[in-house]
Amino acid sequence: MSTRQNLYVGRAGQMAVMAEFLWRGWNVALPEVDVGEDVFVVKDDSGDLWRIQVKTATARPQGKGYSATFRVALKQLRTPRTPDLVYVFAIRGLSSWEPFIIIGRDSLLEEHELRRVGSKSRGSVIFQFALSEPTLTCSRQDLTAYRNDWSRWPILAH
Amino acid sequence: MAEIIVDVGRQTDGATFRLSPQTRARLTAQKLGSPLASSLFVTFTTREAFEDAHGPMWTQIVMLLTGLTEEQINALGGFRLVDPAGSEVLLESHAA
Repeated sequence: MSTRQNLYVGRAGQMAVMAEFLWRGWNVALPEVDVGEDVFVVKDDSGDLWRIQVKTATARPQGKGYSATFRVALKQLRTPRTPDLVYVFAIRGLSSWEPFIIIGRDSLLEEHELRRVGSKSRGSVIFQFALSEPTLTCSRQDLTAYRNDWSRWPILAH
Repeated sequence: MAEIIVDVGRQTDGATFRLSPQTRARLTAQKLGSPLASSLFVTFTTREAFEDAHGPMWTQIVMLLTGLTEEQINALGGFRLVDPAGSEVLLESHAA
């Protein structure tokens, strides 16, 4: 995939994630300076803030499901922040977005360091997720709990 | 080697402290402590105010993150504060 195509796919994933937040009633904002693909999610009435890192990939058919590969910077994965980062992995299927994979930085780090999920490569960790209804796995570990896990952001009525 | 590893994320106005995954897993497996917080953010001004009155607050941070007493922390071999991005040891506190 060309660099330009990557930009379009990445931006599409970011927009898809932002649309889902808005649909659920949570406000979103983009930083003016592009330092990655962070999205800020804000609860209007309390000011609670989440930092979201969106990673986007295109699905590749695999058996009865598909796989998608993502690269996460090890430095970012290891460093705790306040507020801490939440990763949303967006996977584009043939005709629509597949279920989002939503996992906090601390949980993803634990999966990587304690359960050997993902593989290190030149300052990054490569995660190859395999999805088939209704499961999600990576490095032979079951990560189904993170599939469309929007529990941090329940649907708000305005 | 200190037994409790605390990951530190330095930010503009303070720092975030969190037990390393390995330390958290080990304490849980050994049923040691009962953490009062999964992570802590301490501003520089809070730290300075505390330390003016009470001295270094690192041990208190580890106590909050682990739920262990100072004696228990020492019995485990003390603690290390680490910048996990570069594995730089920021502070090491061994048991006396």
